Amino acid sequence: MKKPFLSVGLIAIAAGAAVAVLLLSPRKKPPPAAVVMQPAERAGTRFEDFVGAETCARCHAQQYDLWRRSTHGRAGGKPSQMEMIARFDGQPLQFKDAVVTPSTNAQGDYVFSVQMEGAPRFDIRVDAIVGGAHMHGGGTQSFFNEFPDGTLRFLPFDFGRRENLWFTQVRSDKTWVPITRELSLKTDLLNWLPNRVLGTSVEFSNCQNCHGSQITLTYDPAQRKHRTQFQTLQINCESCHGPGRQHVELASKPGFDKLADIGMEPLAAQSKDGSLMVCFQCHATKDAIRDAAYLPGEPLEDYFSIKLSLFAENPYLVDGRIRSFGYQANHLYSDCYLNGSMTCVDCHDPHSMEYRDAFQRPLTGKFDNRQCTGCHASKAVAPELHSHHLPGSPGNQCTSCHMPFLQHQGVGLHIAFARSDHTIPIPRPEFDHSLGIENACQKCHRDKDLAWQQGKVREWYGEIKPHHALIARLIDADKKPAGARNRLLAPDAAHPMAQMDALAAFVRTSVKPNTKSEIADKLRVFSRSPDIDLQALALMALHVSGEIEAADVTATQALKSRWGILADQFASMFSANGDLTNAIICLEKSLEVMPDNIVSLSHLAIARAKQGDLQSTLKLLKTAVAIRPHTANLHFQLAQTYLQMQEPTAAIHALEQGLSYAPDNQPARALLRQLRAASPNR
Amino acid sequence: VQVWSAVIIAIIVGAGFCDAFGQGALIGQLGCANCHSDLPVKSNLREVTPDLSSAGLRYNSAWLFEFLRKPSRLKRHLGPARMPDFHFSDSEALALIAFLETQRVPNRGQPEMPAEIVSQIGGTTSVSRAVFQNPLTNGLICLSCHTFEGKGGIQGIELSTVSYRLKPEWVKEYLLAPSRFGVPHHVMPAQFFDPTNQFRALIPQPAQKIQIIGSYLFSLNPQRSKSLQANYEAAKAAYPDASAELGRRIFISQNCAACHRHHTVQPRPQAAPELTHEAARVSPQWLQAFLKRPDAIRPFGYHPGDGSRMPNFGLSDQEVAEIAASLGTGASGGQSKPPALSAFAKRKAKLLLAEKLSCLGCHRFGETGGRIGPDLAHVRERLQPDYVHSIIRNPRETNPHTIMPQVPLPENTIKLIANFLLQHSEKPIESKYLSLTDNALVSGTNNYAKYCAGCHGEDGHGKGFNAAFLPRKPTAHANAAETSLRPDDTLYDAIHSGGYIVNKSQLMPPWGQSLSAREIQELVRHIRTLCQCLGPAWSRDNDK
Repeated sequence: MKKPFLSVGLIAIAAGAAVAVLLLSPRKKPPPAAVVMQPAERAGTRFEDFVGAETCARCHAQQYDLWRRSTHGRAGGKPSQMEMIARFDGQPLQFKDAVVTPSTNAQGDYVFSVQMEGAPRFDIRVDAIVGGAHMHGGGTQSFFNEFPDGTLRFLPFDFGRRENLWFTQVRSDKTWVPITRELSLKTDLLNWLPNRVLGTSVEFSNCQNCHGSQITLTYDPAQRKHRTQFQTLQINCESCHGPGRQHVELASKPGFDKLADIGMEPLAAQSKDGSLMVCFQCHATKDAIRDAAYLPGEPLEDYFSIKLSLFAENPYLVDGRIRSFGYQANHLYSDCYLNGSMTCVDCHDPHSMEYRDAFQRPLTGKFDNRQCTGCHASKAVAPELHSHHLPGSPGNQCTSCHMPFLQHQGVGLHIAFARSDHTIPIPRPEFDHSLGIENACQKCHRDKDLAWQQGKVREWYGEIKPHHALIARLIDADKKPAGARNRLLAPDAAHPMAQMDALAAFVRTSVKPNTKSEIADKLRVFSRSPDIDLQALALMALHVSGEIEAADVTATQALKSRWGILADQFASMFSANGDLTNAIICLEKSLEVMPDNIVSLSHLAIARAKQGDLQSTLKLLKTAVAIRPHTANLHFQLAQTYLQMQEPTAAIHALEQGLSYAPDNQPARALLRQLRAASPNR
Repeated sequence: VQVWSAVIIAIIVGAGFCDAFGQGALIGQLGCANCHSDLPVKSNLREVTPDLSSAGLRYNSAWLFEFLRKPSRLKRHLGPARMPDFHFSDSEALALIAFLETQRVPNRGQPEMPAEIVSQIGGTTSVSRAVFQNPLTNGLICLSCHTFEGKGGIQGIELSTVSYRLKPEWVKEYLLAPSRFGVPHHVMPAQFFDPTNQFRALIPQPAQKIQIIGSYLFSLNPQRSKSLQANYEAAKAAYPDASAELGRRIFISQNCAACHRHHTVQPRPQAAPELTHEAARVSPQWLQAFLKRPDAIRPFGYHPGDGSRMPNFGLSDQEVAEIAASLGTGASGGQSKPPALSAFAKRKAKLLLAEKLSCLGCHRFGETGGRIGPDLAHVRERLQPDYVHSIIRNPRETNPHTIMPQVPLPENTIKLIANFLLQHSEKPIESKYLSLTDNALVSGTNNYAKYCAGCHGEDGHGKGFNAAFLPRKPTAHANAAETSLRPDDTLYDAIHSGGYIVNKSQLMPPWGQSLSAREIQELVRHIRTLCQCLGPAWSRDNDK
């Protein structure tokens, strides 16, 4: 299963965008969540604690065999291990300014031969494949190359199985389009030169930890190189079960059967949310909140947040459906989760990835009604009475109406990437249309118009089930932005996603820095919420508005990270509107919570520079560089500051420093050349 | 296969002990089959035990209070049968007595006693011992059966106990016409008058002799009467709420009518577990210990909430051995030994029981769990391995009368739980019966009463007897504000697939494998009558 490469890293200071940062004007759009720079604090789990699936197979052959044939077992790997779906047949892919030919070379490697105008031809070898084009709604396959700097980089030539063609993601609107002569390799492709890496990173846009198992990306200052480690590009046993080394060691010694603690916890006894978190390691849009590689078995919320993004760049529509691109964490909006016990493994067998019901009875496939009727048994008595469609017809399948395959709009319309809607909604043709979503009726009844579709729903079901009360308020608030905002604050709503969305909407519109809030009491209730994201957002709002001091709150690292990131994002919103004063207040608050957050240091440096306070800018950047010297972009930003201070020599030095960490940064190199040429001393 | 072979063996054995019963085996004589109605031979106990329709006329309540709390063997004509100990508390005994006091209906269809005879035996007179002994030893045959101060027959009751056990008026009317109180002629013949022949005198001066015998017997043991009365009064003062209605429910709950005739209450069929497959079900050692000293297997009744108890018969070792042999449980063989579980597997099983499965909604397990079914901490010592696997896998096929629902579980989970229980060696806590006066007895016979009332309460207020033992309060179906928010389909789904799937307690089991769609729909309708409400308007699409 292929995911797009939503960066949660430091987009603003990511390699390819370095100069953009240097020349930053007020941002048009708030950036995505930032990674907080913190020294790595391992909770005890190390890469060496993982043993790999073949070791598990020695005792757990049955589970291994099921897994090996599953989509997880075939998710990725070296070219020799994978079924090649894409056509490496020597047929050239024509760009406006280049020809890229996927083929095999004499050594049997898969390569992309790149012939750019006016440049020598060169080959990029495929070192890793991700995706087996398994997905029903459109499966794809992607390719990676090992870069000299130690990263494994995504190559911007993907293959779509259904369309049987090569496609790429374009810079302009980030959609996926077939490769044609209309496209410039150099300027139109989002990921040329290849800049997206495997593993979670603050240096690069990245794929987080999900397209493989136990991916860790670290930087070795001695070698001045990155190190990409992973067990496999499959999704292996330990991805869900956690590290196995201790378990294997214990199992190899006598007396194993006497141990109640076998170095591994039984996942069968997980709580609903605990079970979901296992899958949400990957099947969720999530923001990294610390600069350390996550490894399975550690608390996910110490490394990632799946709700933080609702504040700045909400990936979900008001009812949880995917706005542009996402995964299955919008299950958290479903009634099956909110008023039921449903977890992923209630339908998906975690070993075979085949289908089953909530009682683990095997099913025939993804359209088997018993996925639903295992619990909703009332609908199994006479499904056609509920569906109003003939028995045996697609319309009588639960999934046709309640889990339609929706094209993720961020991908565009050229390449099939439809995913079953895990909010498990009720078809509401007119409402769905108002959100820009293809409604379920339309999937089959394309010849009928919206009025007919809505009419049928009305005729068959009369008054339909209302939205969750808080969602209804959010819908209302969307219609009437000036409407009663306080109604969005619902600490007792028992709908964490909607609560986050509503609280975020409230904070964005009603909280002002250093302005006491009349609803502080409600925010205080949220600040004691057991939900860490809600807690963080409320604390940030109270802090920014001057209701509390950061020092007065005892908070875990995971809470502080969220709080600081949210304050930084709030700053970006003010900054985007040209409100430098409030942006600076928020950034200073962010640094009160997280003094070592180089992102906020960098952002504050930019703001100070805009104010003309270059001395402060310099100080902030130097602090950031001291914290994390190998972040090339900090050096580039420093260079820009020196330039503004009319100190070209210092700027040259800073650029040299930065390029020593990121030698392939072409804009920085060009700037250096320009400065050297102009420098009388050189 | 092993279970069924065991069952078949049990059936053959069962067929064998039909004959044994026929020959007067103890298990038949004790009246076991009166509650364990699958047992092939019924006893004739009901014909020879006191008819309780007229108990209020007959018994001294103060004595009944002692007798119910601590039954003694009085009636020697019952053979080995005896009034067993039902583990009654003071309040339970008082309620039962309050009910029995109101039972004053002599045997129907008997001729009215002539008023002039009744008037002659009224009141009491002072009678000397010599005057009393004269009729007793001259002409009457009382002492052919009864003893008096230890001397006399071997089958009847000791006559000197009459004064504190019975009521004087009743004793004299009884002597006048025993059949009026449902006692057959071969048990207590009429000696004074012939009720079948217009109360013709059978001996000279019959009324006078009744008066003499009655008056003298009631002058005996005044201290005993006094102390019984004092205890009884003290108990009544402590439990003033023991009502006749409560007593009636207890009378029904203990299936008193199974061994005693009563003019309105009938014996309950299948009031106790099936025993014909007992050899395949329980371990012989456990059975013998249990027969010797029965503790509460199902603390509030074989059918949840019916309050029925296995009484203590005070059996001798020899009797226990004889009964066990009748049930075919002399030896256990052919049972598979559960494979040893690792410590981890045990921990996993415990976790599943605590967090995921519905078992502990009904079953106690150590300190936690419900009180509907047997304590799972007893499984190892109590049950046969194959039976344990079988009852978890398919309860109804294993035991057709069980209410235990079939929960769809993966085979490896069934094996894990069964094997875990079969080797769980924590010392079980002695299980006591729940109070019949402090808990709501379930009286209905519909499916809601049968399957739901134990937790949700028969009235749907969520206060069934088992509710107190659950970590989460059962849904109060009668609460219209709550229940009106839940669509019929949601109620159906929760009954069918269990509480867990609707984000409620996993301890509410799924009934979908055990009840038909029609039965579940009826339960939903019943819930709607309890709350007097409908589901939300939007949910009623199929009504349109």
